[in-house]
Amino acid sequence: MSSGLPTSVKWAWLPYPSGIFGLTLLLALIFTQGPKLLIDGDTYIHIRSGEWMLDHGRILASDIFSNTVPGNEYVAHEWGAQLLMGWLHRTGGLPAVAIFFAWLAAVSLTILYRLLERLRSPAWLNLTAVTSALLLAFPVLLARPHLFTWLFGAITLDLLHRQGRSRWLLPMMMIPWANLHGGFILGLALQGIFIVGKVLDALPADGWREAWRDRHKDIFVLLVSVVASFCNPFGVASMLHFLTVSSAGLNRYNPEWLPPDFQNFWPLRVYLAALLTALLCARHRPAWTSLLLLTLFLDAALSHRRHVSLAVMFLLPLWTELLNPHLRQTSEVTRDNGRQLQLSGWSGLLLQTTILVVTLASVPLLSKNSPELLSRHFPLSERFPDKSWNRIQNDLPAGRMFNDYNWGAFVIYRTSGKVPVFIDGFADKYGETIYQDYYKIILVEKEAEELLGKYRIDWIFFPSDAPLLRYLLATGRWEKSYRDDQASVLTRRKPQLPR
Amino acid sequence: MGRQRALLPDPAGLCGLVVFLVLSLFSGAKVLRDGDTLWHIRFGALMLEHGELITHDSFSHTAYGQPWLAHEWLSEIIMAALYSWAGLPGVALFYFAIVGLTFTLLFKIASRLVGDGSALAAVAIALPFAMTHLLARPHLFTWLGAALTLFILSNDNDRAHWLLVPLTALWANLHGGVLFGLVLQAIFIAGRLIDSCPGRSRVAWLTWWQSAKIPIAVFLSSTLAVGINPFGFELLLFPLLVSNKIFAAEIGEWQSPDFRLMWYLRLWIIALFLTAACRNNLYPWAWRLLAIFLFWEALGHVRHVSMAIVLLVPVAAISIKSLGWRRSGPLNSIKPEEVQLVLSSWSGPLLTTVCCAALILLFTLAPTQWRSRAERRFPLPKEYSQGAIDYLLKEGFPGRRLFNHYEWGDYLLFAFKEPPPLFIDGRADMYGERIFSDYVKMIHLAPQTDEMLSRYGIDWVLFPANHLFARTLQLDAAWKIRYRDDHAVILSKTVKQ
Repeated sequence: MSSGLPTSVKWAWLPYPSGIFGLTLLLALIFTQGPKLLIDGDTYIHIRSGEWMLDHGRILASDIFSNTVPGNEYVAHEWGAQLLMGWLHRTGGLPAVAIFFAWLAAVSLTILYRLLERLRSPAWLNLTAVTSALLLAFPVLLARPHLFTWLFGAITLDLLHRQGRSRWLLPMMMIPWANLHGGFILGLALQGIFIVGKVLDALPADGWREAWRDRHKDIFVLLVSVVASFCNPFGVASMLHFLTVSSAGLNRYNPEWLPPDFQNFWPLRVYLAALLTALLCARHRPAWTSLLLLTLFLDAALSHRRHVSLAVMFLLPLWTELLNPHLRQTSEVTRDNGRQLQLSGWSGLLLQTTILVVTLASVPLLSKNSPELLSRHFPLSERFPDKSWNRIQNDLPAGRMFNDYNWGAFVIYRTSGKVPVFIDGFADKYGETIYQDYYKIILVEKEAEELLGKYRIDWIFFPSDAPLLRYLLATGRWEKSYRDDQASVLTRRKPQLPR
Repeated sequence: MGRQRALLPDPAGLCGLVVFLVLSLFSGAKVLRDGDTLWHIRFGALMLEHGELITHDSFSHTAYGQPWLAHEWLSEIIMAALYSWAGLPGVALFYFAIVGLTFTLLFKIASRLVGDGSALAAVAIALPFAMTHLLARPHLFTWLGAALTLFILSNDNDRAHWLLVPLTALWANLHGGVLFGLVLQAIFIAGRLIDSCPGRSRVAWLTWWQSAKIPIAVFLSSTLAVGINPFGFELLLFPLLVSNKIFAAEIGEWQSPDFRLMWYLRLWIIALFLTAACRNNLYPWAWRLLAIFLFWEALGHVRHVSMAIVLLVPVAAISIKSLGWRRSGPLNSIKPEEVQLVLSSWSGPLLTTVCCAALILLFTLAPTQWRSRAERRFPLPKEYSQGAIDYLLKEGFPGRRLFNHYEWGDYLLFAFKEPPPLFIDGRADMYGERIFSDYVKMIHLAPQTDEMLSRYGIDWVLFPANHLFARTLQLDAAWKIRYRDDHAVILSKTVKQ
């Protein structure tokens, strides 16, 4: 332990509240949130991509799933995560994938909670702050690679607060991060912010030259981290890929890239109003590092709802900084009847990892003995038209399919890529033209039918209540070949030959 | 120097006048882009004509006879009178003057707090934000009412607070935003109480209570004054009705702001947070609470963004001053005792009002040719097809029950002396949740669209030509195109043989 405990911690094994929180969260996620973790379509494309890599022994960096961009190369910046997800799926199916990501979320929040404990804020404040962050991050708590950014981001923040020699872990961490998720750029941004923030804080007392001189080692660590982040199969392209994914053309309609809707997601409205109140009541100006973090994450959270989770998690130390001066400082060690309890910062994490290993090991056994139990707790996303597909799979129309964006992943997962899709959740793979054409079609803009012709679409697999279906049927050039409450299939009518 | 010679407007008055002139010259088209302006004028004209308030619907076939709370009746009468004198330009100019006076008041408050330089900078920042919801509609009375309320509340003279009671009574007849005035009063009472929060001494508690007595009495009297309107305290329920979930989801101005498009709002919020963190000691508690409340409102509805930013001019001015800008500003470098010119705090607002009245008079008296040339600076949106209206005037209505576009409902009410019975118009609150959600389902081609069209007995449709709903119906053999241009299409149901 590096937290300067007053007594020896050799025998400490009881977890801190942070460890207990993480443990509780992990168990709650595993036993109650299986369907939630597996609700997003991207999970299923990652799984199939990973399995392909396991089968072929190489990285999948060109399209094999679509009828629009077959063979097109793309930056598979999450290849490491996909490989892991593919392996987990082979080992224990969807339950194994969900359990692993539940563990990632629990560990990330444990690390952040522990950071707050080390900043010596009262236990109730830590619990309230971390629970609020969890609730606000909950909409994107999904079995997808961005949870690696939660984990590595939390570790980075922790190491940057610790300073000292542990900062040398930062470049080492960048290597796995850059191969698991594109969010590794956040790690570099955090390092940059801490350097600039510390320089600005030191400026009034030390002047520019002194302030920068003190940060030489940090700058060197940042440069090494940048170099380390290039250690991935795509090199610099992986870093630049961030700009492609976040471009306006590709995320104009994608719900997770939309700005938050403060009417439906009112807890975020409450959170921001509370943060403004805390800032207006602060006794001291927060450190520049905190203000720079606030600027970055406020802008990110207001722009895209998927970034709300990062904002609420990485702004946790700011709450401590703002509220601690108002509150009585508490000792880090919990007292019990005058005796000091020796608590461990590692035992909580160790217990969580043990639970991960035990549950992963028991999944294959359970899937043999009580498969219903597993499929009930970790079902295929309810957004998918599984029953509809069961009815049509033996009689699929011939030719090229046009599908709903969210169902692309489902078709890929169900058919292991045998039925090529028009589009799936990896918008960046398809590029702006196809992505925007897709939306022109589903919003039934004037050129919708012309575009279906341009892409030589023969049949459409789409939600039954979509206006597109009503419009196409009205044209008389399409006919309904299947329909239930969830999904419909339209096929293009063959042109009448002149007699 | 004697006060009687003071004629030149002070910076606040000058600022309001400039705002009025700039808007009059450059914002004529923007201010009339909303359909609500048109139905307000129409209902105002009807009330003037019949000499009584409208309390029930008589223009739709979906909500015919349904009670309607015309809570903006006084605004509507003013708008109709202005329209009858000077046409749409008269209405637009009147609202520009309201905005000019609002900025005059906010400049004065900011100037009182931190000086003219910071106040000017804050107004300059707020003006572009104001454009996001600057429409010739009664909500601008709420801007003015709120600015007046802030002006009075930020005055140290507690007796002046009694002016809030008649102001509230008048406001309650102009716009439903009157509740906002009560919230402002509550915020200032809370702010005052927190700022002077006593310790343990009993005497201090008594002094504290004494200081809050008048504002609380004014607040209670103002709450009662809200009831002085034709609908009594029913008015208080109105905001709940219009911010209902279905309206908030589908009506653009009630939706949550899109921060990707409104990037400038994102910057403003970041600036608000950073300045709050950096210089909080300069904010009295009332202004802190006001900032929190207006920030909350701006996050919820786009229509509140402009109001929030406009009313936070004093807070922005405090922040700007705290950044040290005051030392370099020419306006701030002059000390009061060095001022040579005697400036009037009344001549600016008076000049704005006179300019507005003169322009309206000019429109009223000008020859038709001049007037129509000037009216081109205040056009209605092109989407309202004059061709479609001309067709209907000439050929008559091709059916009995119309299904019309939401915005077009307003235009039809305005364009026809006896409009066809409508499906819907801008009075969403009157139509209620069921009719409005049916309308939304139909225009999005929900699976039950045909069944709903039959249920409402719709036999003709007037819609924007490129709208998905209209394009789909044009493909349907059950519907026949009667008229079509680039902006509108008229369809009627074909009679089954």
